Amino acid sequence: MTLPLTLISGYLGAGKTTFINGLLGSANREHARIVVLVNDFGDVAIDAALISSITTDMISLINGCACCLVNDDLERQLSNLVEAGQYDQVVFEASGVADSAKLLRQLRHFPGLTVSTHLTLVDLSVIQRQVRDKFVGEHIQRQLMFARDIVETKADLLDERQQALVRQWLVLGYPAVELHTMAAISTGVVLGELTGELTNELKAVTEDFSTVKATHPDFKSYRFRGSQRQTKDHLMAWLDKLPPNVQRVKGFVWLLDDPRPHLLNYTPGCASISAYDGVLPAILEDSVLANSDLVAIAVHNGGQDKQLQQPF
Amino acid sequence: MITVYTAKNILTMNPSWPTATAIAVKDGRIVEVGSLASLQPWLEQHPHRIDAQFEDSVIMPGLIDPHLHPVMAAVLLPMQFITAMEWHLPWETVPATVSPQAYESILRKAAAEDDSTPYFTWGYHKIWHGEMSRGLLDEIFGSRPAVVWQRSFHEVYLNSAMMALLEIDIEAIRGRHQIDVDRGHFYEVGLSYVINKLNRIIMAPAWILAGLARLKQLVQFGGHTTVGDMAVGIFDFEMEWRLCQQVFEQPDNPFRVVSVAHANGSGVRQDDLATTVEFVRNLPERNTAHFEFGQRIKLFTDGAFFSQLAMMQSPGYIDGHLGEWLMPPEKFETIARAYWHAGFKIHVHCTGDLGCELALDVLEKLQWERPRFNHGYTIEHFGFSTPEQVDRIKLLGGSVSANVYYLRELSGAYSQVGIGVERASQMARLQSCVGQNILTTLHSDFPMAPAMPLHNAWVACTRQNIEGNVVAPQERLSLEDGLKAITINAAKVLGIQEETGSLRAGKKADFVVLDSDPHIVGVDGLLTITVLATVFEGQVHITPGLS
Repeated sequence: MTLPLTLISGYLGAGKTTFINGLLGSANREHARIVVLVNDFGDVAIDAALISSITTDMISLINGCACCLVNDDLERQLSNLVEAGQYDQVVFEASGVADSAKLLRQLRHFPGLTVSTHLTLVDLSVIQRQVRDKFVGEHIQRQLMFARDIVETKADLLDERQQALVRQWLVLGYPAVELHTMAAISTGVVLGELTGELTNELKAVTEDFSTVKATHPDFKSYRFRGSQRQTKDHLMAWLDKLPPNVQRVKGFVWLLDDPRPHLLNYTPGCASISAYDGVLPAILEDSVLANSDLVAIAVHNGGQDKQLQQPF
Repeated sequence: MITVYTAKNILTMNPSWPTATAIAVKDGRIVEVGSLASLQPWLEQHPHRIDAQFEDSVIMPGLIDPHLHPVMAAVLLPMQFITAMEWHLPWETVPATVSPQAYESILRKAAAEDDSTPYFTWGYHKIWHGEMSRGLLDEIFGSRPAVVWQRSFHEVYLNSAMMALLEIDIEAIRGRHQIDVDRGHFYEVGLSYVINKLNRIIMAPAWILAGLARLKQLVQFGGHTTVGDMAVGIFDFEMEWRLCQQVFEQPDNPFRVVSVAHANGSGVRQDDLATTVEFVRNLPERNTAHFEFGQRIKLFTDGAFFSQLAMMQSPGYIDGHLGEWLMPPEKFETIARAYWHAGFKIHVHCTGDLGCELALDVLEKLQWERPRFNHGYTIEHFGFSTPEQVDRIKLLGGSVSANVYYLRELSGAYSQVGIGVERASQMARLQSCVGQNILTTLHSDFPMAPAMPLHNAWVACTRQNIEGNVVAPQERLSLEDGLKAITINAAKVLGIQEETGSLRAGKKADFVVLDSDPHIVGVDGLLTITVLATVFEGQVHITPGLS
C-alpha cells in the first residue's frame, strides 16, 4: 500500500493555502490522517497557522543549503513519512517558484509514495500579468506548461466577460490543461461526492479522503468566523476566559480601531494580537468584508466539553 | 611589553602611510608602524623587545576571506582529495590527477590500507578520471564501504558494501529519477535520496569536528586572520554555532570568525518574521572574543552557480533551461524589507544577472522607503552581471563580494555549455566595480573554491582561466586593487575595518608574513608567494609544515 500524495502548485497568492484549508476542513470530518508539507520562506507562522489549525499535522520544509544538495529536507521528510506509516495522505504545497516538472520527477518513483493528484492553482485575475513578470514570468509559464489540472481562483475579481477572455487565453495557450473552478472541486471534496467535473486523479483523492481512519481522538477543534470587528481588549479578554483545556488558538482578526488585519496567536499563558502585513487568503484580506477566522484546539475533557463562547 | 617586528618591507594597506619596516605591538594591538628609528618615542618610554624573525620577509595585513562555510567545509575535509587540479592543503599537496589510470591507482592504494572504516574521496570528474561504477569500486574496495564524490558535490558513486551499510533497498529504488542502482550512481535529485542516509556519517559530530580541525589549519595556511561564516544555519544553527565555538574559540586559534546568520536557516527562522529579526538582532549577545555576530543577515536570490541554476536575463541559457529562485521574489523582498528597516546590513547571494537585478530592484525600493547611507547591502558571489547593474550598485550604495574563482574554473566551460562566450567571459566584472569606487572584495565560498586569498587575487588580476585564456582583460584588477580586495576591503564588507584589514596604530596586530613582496614579484608572482606565518592579535603562528 503506497502513500498517496497530492501536489498543489501555483504562485504566491494563487490561493493554495485557502484551497488546502478547504480540503482539510472537509477531510477532517472524516477523520483523515493527513499531513501537509509546506515550503515556506521566513513567515512560517502564516501558512502554518491556517493549515495546522485544522488538520492533524503540518511539516514545514527547511530550505537549507543553497549551494549544494547536502541538506535536502523534502527527501528526508518524505522518507520519514513513508517509514512512519502514520498517515493516509500527504498534501504537498509546493513553493511558488518550484519547478513542477522537476518535483514530479523526484516524487514519481519515490518508494512507497504515489502522486495521486497534481493541481496547479491559477489566480485568474492576475495570471496574464504574471506570465510576463520580469522575475517569475518564465517559471509561471512552465508551471502552466506542466500542469494538467488547473484550478482557477479569484475569478470573482473579474467580470464575466473578462473571466471568459482569460479562460479562453489559458485554454488556447495551454491546450493540455483541464480547467476547474474552485467551487466545483471544493464542493466535491467537502461533500465526498464525485462530480463529473473532477478528473479521475482527483476522484482518487476524494475517495482517499473519505475512507481514511480516525486519529487524534484526544483533540477537538472549533472554528470561529465572523465579520463583526472587535477591539483588541475584547479579544484578549475572550482569550483570558478560555477554559484550560484549550491548547491553541490561531487565526486572523479585524479590529475596530485599526485598519490592518491582525494575526492572533494563543497558547495557555501567552497571547498575542499583532498587525500582519503578509499575504492573506482572499477570503480574509478584504477590509470591507472584515472576515475574521479563528481556530481553537482543545483537549477532550472526558465528555464535559463546554461550548466555547463566541468571540465575534 | 612592546614587541617590535622588523621586516624587509611592510605593506600597510593604509594609503596615507603605505610602507614601513618595523611595527610595534602591545597587548595584541599595533602601537605604531614605521621604522626602528621612527618608533623611538615609544621605545624610549616603554619596555620592549625587537623580534627579528621576519626581518627577511614581507608583512601585510592578515588576509580576510569574508565568505566561506565552515560546516560545509567540515563535511568535505575529512575525505581524501583526488582532483584534476592541484590542491595545496596544509597536510598535503594534492597533485593533479588527470588520467583514469592514475585515478584508479590512487584508489587501489587507499584500498590496500588496513582500514575497514568507510572510505570517502572527493574530486572525481569523468572528463579526467574515466567511467566510475559500483562494480569497479566493488572490485577495488571489496568489503570496505566506499564513496566517490564528484567534484561538483552533485553526484556520488557507492559500492555494494556502502549500500549495504546504509541499508539501501536496491529493488525499491530501481527506476527512480537520477538513480542508477546498478552503477551505484546517485546524482542531482537522486543524490538527495542517498545524502539523507549518508548524513548519519558525514554530519556526525565527530566527523564535523575532525573537518573543522582541518579547516582551522587550512585557514591559517591561506594566510587568513579573519574569515566570515556567511550563512550560519545552513544545516542547523545551534549545532553549527556550538561546534564552531568549540573548535574556533580556543586560545591558540589563529583567526577570528565573523558570523552572519542565514535568514531562512534551520534554527534561525522563528514563528514569524518579526520574531526572527529579533532573534538575529540578539545574536551578538552570544559573542565571544573570536567568534562574533553583528547586525548582519544573509539572504538569497537565485540558484547555485555550479549547477547552472543562476537566474539569467534574456537570452538565458543556450539549452533553454531555466535557473531557480531560492525563494519567491516577493518573499525575498518582504524579508529584505524587514531587515532593512531594522537597520541591518544585508548580504545577498546572487549568482545570475537576473538574481542581481532582483537584489538591486529591491534595494532601490528600500532606498525609496527609507534612505540609508553606509548600509552595507552587499551582492555576494556576483557571478553574472551587466555593466548597467554596476552603475546601479554604485548609485544605490551597494558593495560587491565576488567569487572570482568562477571565472577560473567555469568561464571556459560555460562559454561552450551554458551561455556563450560573450557573457561567460564577463563573469566577475570587477574592474568596472573598482573603477566606480564600489567597495569590492573577493571570497572563496570554500569549499566551492580554494581558500587561498593570494591565488584569488591572482585570478582577479589576470583573469586567466584553466584553459589558459585571459577572459575580458578589461576587467582585470590592478595589483593594488587585488590586494585591497583581500585585506581592507574585506574588512569593510564585514564591518570590522576599525579593528583589522590594514596596519596602523590602534588596530589589532593581525599580519600575514610572506616570503616575497607582491610589489616586486608582481601579479604573476602572487601564485608562488609562500605564507610563512600569520600573526593574530600579536600571537605568532608559523605555517604548519614549514621549518
